[in-house]
Amino acid sequence: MLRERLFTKKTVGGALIAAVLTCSALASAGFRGGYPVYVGNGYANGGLGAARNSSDSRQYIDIVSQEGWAWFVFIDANGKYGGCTTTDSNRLTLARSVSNGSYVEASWDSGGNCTAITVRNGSYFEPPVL
Amino acid sequence: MQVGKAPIWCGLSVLLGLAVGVGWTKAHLAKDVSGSVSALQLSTRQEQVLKRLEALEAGRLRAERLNQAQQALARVAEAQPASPRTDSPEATADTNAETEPARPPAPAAQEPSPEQLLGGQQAQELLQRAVQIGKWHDRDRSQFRAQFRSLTSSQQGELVRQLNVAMNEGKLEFDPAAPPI
Repeated sequence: MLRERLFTKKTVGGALIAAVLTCSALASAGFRGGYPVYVGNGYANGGLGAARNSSDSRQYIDIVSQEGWAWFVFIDANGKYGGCTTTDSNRLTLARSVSNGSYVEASWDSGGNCTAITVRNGSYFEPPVL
Repeated sequence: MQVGKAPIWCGLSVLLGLAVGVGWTKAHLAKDVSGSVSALQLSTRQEQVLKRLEALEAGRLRAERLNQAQQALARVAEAQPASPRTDSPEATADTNAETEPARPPAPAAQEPSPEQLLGGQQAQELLQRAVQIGKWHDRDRSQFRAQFRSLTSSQQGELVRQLNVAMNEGKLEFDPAAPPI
């Protein structure tokens, strides 16, 4: 009986210590941000990892870069499409710099031509895990 | 008697005066001559010193010019690329690479062939049909994809532009599971 009590106390104590250690490890994991796809009027943004890991089956970012042109495609959680095309060499370079963990922002005019492209690669962007 | 002695004293005085005058003149003349000689010697020395100075100046100028010429030669040598070695083709290639870095040729604007022109027209018709009904038929989409792949980059860019405009305006839905390109 006494042994059982001692064993229970030890188990509970060990679990508590493990929980504290886990929490402290999580607390020191660094800043993380979730950036789901957002499609506005003439602009869109989002993280590739966040789109990929989202619980809905709609969020989507696709950057198609070919010789001489690129197409930036965004679809948000509601299925709303937004995108732009470009033939500008600087924007083509940016399109090619996008990686799995990138955050991409695009703006366009009424003709669907990209007017601004931002590609960010930060430690706080969510990498695709699924 | 006294009257008789006076001319004698007078003559002696004159003689004495003459002697003193001659002596003084001699002394002064000697001084002048020696002064002239020393002045002459000094001017000769000055001339020698001047000549030496001129020689030194000329030497300095020559040395300066030589130095300038050497510096100019060094600059020219630095500016010139290493001379190519004709006995080694690799060395020549390296030298050429230094002077003119090898760059990939700029892609020339590709003119579409007659088949590509026809393919582009057909792809455009498929796109218009999809826009009219607001979505892709499976058969149209697969035909569009096949045509799209055979087109030039420029033709593809134009089709993608039209596709994107139609989708931005909500005239054509986009299915990520079956993208048109």
